Amino acid sequence: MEEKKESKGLISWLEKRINLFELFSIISSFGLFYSELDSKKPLKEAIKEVLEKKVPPYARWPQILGIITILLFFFQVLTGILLAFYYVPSINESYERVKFIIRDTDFGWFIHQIHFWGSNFLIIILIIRVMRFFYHGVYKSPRELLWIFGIALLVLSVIQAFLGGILLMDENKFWSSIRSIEIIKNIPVLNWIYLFFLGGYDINQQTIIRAYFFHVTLLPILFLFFLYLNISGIRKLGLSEIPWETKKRKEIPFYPHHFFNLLILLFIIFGVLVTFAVLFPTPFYKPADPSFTPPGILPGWYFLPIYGFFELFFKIIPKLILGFICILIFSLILFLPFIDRKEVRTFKERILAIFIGVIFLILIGLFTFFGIHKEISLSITNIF
Amino acid sequence: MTEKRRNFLEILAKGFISLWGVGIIWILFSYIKTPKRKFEENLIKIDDVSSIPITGSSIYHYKDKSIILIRKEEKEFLAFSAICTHLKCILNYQKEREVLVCPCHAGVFDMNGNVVSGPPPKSLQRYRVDIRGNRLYVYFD
Repeated sequence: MEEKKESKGLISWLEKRINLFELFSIISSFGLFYSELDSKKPLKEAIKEVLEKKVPPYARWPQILGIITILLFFFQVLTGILLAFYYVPSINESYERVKFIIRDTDFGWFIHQIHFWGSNFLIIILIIRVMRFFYHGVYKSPRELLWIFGIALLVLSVIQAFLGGILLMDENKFWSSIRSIEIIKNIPVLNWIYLFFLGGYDINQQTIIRAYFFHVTLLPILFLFFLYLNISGIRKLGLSEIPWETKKRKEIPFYPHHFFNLLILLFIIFGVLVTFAVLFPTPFYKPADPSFTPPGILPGWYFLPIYGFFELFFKIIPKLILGFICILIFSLILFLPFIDRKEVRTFKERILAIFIGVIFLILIGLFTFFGIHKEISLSITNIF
Repeated sequence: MTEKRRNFLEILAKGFISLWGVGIIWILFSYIKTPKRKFEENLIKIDDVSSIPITGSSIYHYKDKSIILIRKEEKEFLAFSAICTHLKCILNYQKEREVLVCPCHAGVFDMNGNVVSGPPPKSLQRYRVDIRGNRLYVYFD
């Protein structure tokens, strides 16, 4: 209790000297507070008001995914800063520096693993989030932009994972990145963008410096920007109701109920990350030898469906057309809110849309399978 | 009774959270702190440099490293790894041509450590030299 009094005193002391309202409104834009502060009142009262305000029970299924994205991004930024303490983007030195981080620093391996698993979970969570947006029809008017921001976040996190893989320079990640680059090479438009930003399809000094620069500065800022757009959009429009849930949910006060829900969520995410980092560490192999391709290396798992798609069809259909099909599908997904403009959101009225979605998911799963088991897809293509 | 129990639970929860906090902060600090430079292990100390003649050279072995120290002028010293980057032979200094030559396969390095001719794939590692009076230190950073 005494601590609280002190901190309150400190807040009012600070309030006279700096503009705390601005600070708190920034925090609220990134999802910590759920309503705007009343700038006419003293900050202490305004915060108390915000804390006591009833919020819909956010931290429950299925609206939980946005806040998980924020927390995971926070973990990624933190561990990324820590890794940048020792990393050097250089074709000759990178491997040694990563080895130094993993082997010679205290807990370096742990931070590296958390960064690796955090990036994978971020992609998985964002995929699930996009899937839920589709299933609950969240992309319908007036939330079209939320869908696009969601896709943008997903694409950014995939790019981040890909660029981060280039930086390691061990055998596995190096060749897996080369595989990913080969996929990018086959997709029109995307390969122009890739060439514009990274220069060439091989991995050299220039690639590493540029990949590092984008990985640590430009793309996190872009991610943060889209996160801000996403959350401010949710603040404006309110949380999307689940269309077939008739019963209204109980509202809970922000503090302590919701706050502690968030805290529990933070601990669960951290626990899951630690568990995976310790039990399923990503291996770090010997340095990459650009003149020797080890057998059986796959691209990053997020590229596997496209990889399988190409493996299955490249003998029958020209690669350019396959690439254009990929671009077409991506644009269909991206502009879905402007294609499916009916305002119905209940399950029964959207059976066709759900059906198409399920078929799409099955196809993705199938292509991933063919991407992993190359020999099966090869034996199938040999039939033709 | 219930109040006591609630107090106990609250203390327990706070204790757990602060334990986590301490653990995380400990991990962060032990990772961030600058790794200690082990100076004693990372340098060769040569007590009397007057034993090397001007335009002469000398080879020193230290753990898995070998170093060739070249005296160009009275106070100008160069230190290179004496191990050829090709097949790990020990290099010789040729003062007439001012180059390092590998006796095994005739690889030649210039006075910047770069490959002039022959099979070596990489240039030589050059080391920092510090002269203090008659003493000389070669640092491996």
